[in-house]
Parts: sequence; structure tokens; C-alpha cells
Amino acid sequence: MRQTTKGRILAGHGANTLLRTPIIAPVPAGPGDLRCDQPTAALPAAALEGTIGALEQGQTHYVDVPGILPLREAIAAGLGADYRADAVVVTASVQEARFLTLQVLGQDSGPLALPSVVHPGVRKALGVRPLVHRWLEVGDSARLLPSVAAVGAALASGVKCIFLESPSRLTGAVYDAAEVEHLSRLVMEHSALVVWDQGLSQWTASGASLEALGAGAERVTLIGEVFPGVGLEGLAIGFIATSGAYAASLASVKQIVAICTSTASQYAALGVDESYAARRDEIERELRERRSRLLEWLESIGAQVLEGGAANLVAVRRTDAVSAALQERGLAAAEGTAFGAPDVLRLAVAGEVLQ
Amino acid sequence: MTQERRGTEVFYDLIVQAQGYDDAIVLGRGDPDFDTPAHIIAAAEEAMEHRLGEPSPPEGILPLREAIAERVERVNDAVFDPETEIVFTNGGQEALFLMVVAAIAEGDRLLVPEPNYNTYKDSVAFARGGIVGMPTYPQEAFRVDPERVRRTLISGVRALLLVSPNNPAASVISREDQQELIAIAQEHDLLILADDIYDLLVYDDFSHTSPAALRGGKERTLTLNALSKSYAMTGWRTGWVTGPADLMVRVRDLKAAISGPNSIVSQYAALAALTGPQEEMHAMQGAYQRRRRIVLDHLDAMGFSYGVPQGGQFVFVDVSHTGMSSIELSQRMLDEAHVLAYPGGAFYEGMDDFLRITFLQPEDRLRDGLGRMQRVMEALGVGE
Repeated sequence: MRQTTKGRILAGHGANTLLRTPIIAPVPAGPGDLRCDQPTAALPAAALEGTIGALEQGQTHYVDVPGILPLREAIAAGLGADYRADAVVVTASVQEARFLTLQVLGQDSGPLALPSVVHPGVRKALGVRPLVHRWLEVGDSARLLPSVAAVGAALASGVKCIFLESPSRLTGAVYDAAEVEHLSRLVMEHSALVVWDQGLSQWTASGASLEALGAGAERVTLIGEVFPGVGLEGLAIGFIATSGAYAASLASVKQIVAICTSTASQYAALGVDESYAARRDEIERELRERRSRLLEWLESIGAQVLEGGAANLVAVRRTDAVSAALQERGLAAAEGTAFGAPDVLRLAVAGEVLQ
Repeated sequence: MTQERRGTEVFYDLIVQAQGYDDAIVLGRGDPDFDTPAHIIAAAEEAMEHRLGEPSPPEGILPLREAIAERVERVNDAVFDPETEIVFTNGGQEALFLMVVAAIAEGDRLLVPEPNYNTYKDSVAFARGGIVGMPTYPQEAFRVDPERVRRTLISGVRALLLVSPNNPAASVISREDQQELIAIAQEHDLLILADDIYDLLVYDDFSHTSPAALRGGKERTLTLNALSKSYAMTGWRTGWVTGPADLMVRVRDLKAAISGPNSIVSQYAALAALTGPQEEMHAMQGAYQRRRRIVLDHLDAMGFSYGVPQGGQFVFVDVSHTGMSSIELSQRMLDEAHVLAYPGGAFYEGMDDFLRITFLQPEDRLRDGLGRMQRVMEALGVGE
């Protein structure tokens, strides 16, 4: 019997395991929910007042597709001299940034290579439309990052676009400055493009390793959350910072997908800009203290902690003992399975859940 | 139209040029001049203070989906389960994109009555599908003739786009035609993509009918709607898709993959719009009625012919007697009168004899803009 149009669509959907990858919510469902990517806090009063003021003054209309200019300037200012405001695209969440970069740059610049252990949102975005891609194995590295050698081999085999996370969204591990420099050289040698999710870099002491990105905006497109950790998580705002060569095509598809990002979210992000550095430092200190206590507890239950320097999360090998201890305390960890690492659990350093 | 540029790019180029004039009067973009009603902003403030830590699934919080279900039943006479048949989106645009990507696979074709809002074509191109255009004609009031649809169907067409009121032609598909179009969809195993975004903006004796409300419609129809036009909320990005539960599983997964849950602030703002006082929304509708009359009177005075807008926030004006293409005339209006009207040729190559003029300015500015247009027409020697 001939398959109906709807039946064919639903069969294709059922077979699309990438698109059906489980999601990770941006804000926790409760105090024991340790699954989220970013910490969150109360939005600064100035940001709230600034946003409401802007809305009351009529900022309730469409704005430029790539975002309001002052916000793009603020984002660019935090990324170094190579990234300019006119090549920043504000997105409706980091997930939209993943989707746009993978589907636009991966399509235009491909073939594409991605880490076999990567944020579930990357798999989902890849599942929206088939793209030629291959996975970069992470080997038995405790960091669960693809090695520089693996990246080099992929580029040598003809890959033209690489998606990387540093810090890893699963372990919080980063490429060190020497590795970043090496990666930069490789992408320049092969005239390739890197999409670099650095959304967790605010919580690493070595987040500055991005300064070793000699390849610059022409070769390295950055994505992440805008000013994470200070209350914007529920406002769903991310960014893409790229070069002029790619900004127009990314904005063009952004226009097709959603026209622009919510003005309330954009003005709230603009409102946290000035106080962000100081607030981020406070939050990172707090996270490190909590993380230390979490590590002590994990050690006490015999958990094997993976290598990673991000203050906001800890990844551990999944064992019956760890699972039982989490269950006993009513804690929910992010499942490594959705990242491509079924034997790993990720715990966000969220609230005072261990007291 | 110039084939080198997509229609959307033509519009954005004109917008940027208009931004260069302090005295520009924009009668192009579909962005209401009204600001969002105060009670909706108050709801956003409350959400920013107290609800930023509230989780949302990708399809939106349940109270909002319940409010959408109630609205769709009341306005469109179509019943959807808020648990499984509604996904809240980043505006009507994301709803449009989701509908197309959910229904059109590589190589599939979407039958599209022309003219239409360009980004349908862009979304189909993203999905690696194809468009089968079916012209509608001013002398038929841009009717989507079911018999012409039937004759236009070719191999590979998997879905039919129905936009009512149409953008930019402002025509409304009658209930009888909708029912006949559903019958064709059943006969040829087509899905229906319905764009109801202007359903509250219908004039004279015309009425809006949603295909999902008709016999045989719901199980094969994905419908988009949004608060952008009717509640002056374009900047909030508040829209939705409704459809049968089986297809909505796919829409939900696509929403999670493309952007994840909307801002919780926009969700509570949308909830306030749907459940709060409706007086301002009704006042805006009344203003559009009055402005429509002003625009039509001026067009009559200028000697233009047009399809009388049955719905929407614009009129599609025949400018063939100027001897200029719509893009040329639009550019001239912008250069000489600092008035932006969208060229029909950028919507559809076959509509290069038309301009789309919106009602989205206060009455005095509308009169000013139309007066400036009249002076350009007189200078061209074609004004009355």
C-alpha cells in the first residue's frame, strides 16, 4: 500500500535520531535539578528597569535582524579586537546560534566535522536538515575533547568546517593556549572554518585561551550565551560573532527563521553589560566554593571525576553507586547519553543542594 | 523583479534607505505603528521580576498554550489540545519556518498561490524543496480558485499553502473555497499549510475561515498565527503553530532544535495579551478600518485601481499606468517623496505592476505620505 504524505513525513521523523535527541532545559525545574548548562541568578535591578523603560518608550517593534547595535557592540567588546559589532548576530538562545551556524556555515563551507561527544543541542540542530558530516572521536581522553591531532586529520581529509566546544559542554575541559594556537594554525593552513562554542568560558580560569586564536574572526566563528549566569537564562538570548564574510548569510537565514530576537531580551542583556564583569567574578567565586564541596561529596561516594576546569559543572563516570547517591538526595544529573557519552553524568553546580 | 536579489533583500534594502531620511514615512513593512498595550508590558515586568527562573518546555508553558487553544476555538472555531497540538514560537516567522520545514522534505513541492509573502519561498529553499506557483489575478479579486489549484497540481506537490487574508493581495478565501480546497487536498493526499495571521483583520462583509475548522481539514493542516499584527507585538516574537498531534510531535522537535523555548517574558506577555483586556486591540482594529478608507480615498483621487482589501493591513495597488516597474516606482517614491511602499515585483515576478501600501501610520502621517505620493505621480504626469 502506498504511503501517505503524512505517513512518509512521520516515518522520516521517526528515523531521524539526531532531531529526536533529548534536550537540556535552560533553567532548572527545581532545586535538585542539576541538568542545566549555565548557572542563573536574579536579574540586576538596573537591567530590569532599563528593559521596562525601553518597552514603555516603544521598543516593542521589529528591530534590525542581527540585533540592536549597542548590544552587538557590547558583545563584540568582550571578544577581542578581531570581532566587530557589525559581524555579530544576536540570536534567540544559544540553540538558535548552534542551528544557524551549523546549518548555514556547515552547508556553505562543509564538509563538516563535529566532536562525537558534544552538546545534545548540536545533534538536534544537525537533524533539522541533512548535512554532510563526520564525527571527531574523543578517544579515551579524560577531557572528552577531540585531540588536536584528530582535528588535523579531519582537515587533511578534506573537512572544511569544524564545530568545537571549549570548554566542553559535558566536562568543562578546555583546550589550553598551546592547543588553541595549534588549532588556529591548522585551520589557516587548510583554509577551513571553525565554529567555536565558548559559552562556558566565563566559568574557566583559562577562558583566556581564546586569546590564542590567531586565526581570528575570518576563520573562527564564536557562539555562546550572552552574559551568562546573571539572570538572562529565561530570556533566551545568544550570539554569533563572525567575520563580515559570513555575517550577511547568517543574518539572512536568521531573518527567514525569526526576523529578529525579542527586544525585551536584548534590552535586558544590554542592561547587564556594565555590571557583568564584577558580577561574573562574584558568581564564579561562589561556584568554585560550591564545586569544591560537590567534589568532596563525590569523592566520599567514590565517584570518578572527569577532567574539567569550568566552575559551573562536574562530570563523573556513571556507576551504580553514583546513581544511587544522586537518587537518594533527589538530584537529577544531565545524562551523558544525549552528549554521546553514555557512561558519564554531568552535574551543574547550581544551588546549595548539598547542605 | 531583478533576479539577482531575493524579494526579502529588496525590502530590506529599501528599509535601510528609508532609515536615512529623517522625514521618511514608511508604508511598507508590516509593523503596526501602535506600541504594545501597557497591561502587556506590565505583565512582562512582573515576569522579569518573579518568573525568570521558571522552566518552560520548547512548546511553551501550559497556561499559554491553554490560552491559545481558547483563542483559536473562539476566533477560528477549531479545537486543539493544548497538551499536544500547540507549539509557541518566536513570532509568526518562526511558526512559518517550522510549518514549512515540518511538511516539506528534500525534493517535495509546495503549491503556492501568488503573490505571497516571500519568506515562504526562502523557507522552502532551506528545506531543499520546490515551489509550484499558481497565479491569482486582480480581475478575480486575487481569488484562490480551487479549479485552478486542481489544474496546477503536478507530480511532487505534497502541500498547499493557504494564506487568508493574503499578504500582499489582501484577499480572503471564502468558506466554500476553503472546503473545496480541503477536498482537493484529500483527493491528492496534500498537507495544508495555513497562515491565519490576519484573521482578526477582515473588512466589510468578508469573514475569515480557518481550514482546520472545516470537515476533513484538521488532520492534514498546520496553521500559524501570531500576536504581532493584531496586538502590536512585533518586537516580542510571539506566535504559534497548531496542528494534529502526530504532526505536532515533529513541529515540537524542530522547535527544540531550532531555538528551544521562547523567552519566558515573551510568553507571559503573550498570555496577558490573550487573557487580559481586549479594548486596545479592538481600538486598533477600528483604526485600521478608518485608515483603510483614507488610503482608498486617496488612491481613488490619484486614479489608481486596486483590489479592495478584504483583510490585512495593506492595499495592493495597480501602478501599470505609470509605465514603470514596481521596483522603479517604489525607488522613485522613496527618493523623491521619502515614502516607502513595497514593490509588488519583490513579492512575485508577475506582480511587478503593483505596490503594497500599508495602513500602519497615524492618520495625519498617512495623509501626508499619500499626498507626497500624489505629487510624485503628478510630476510623472500620471496623477489626476
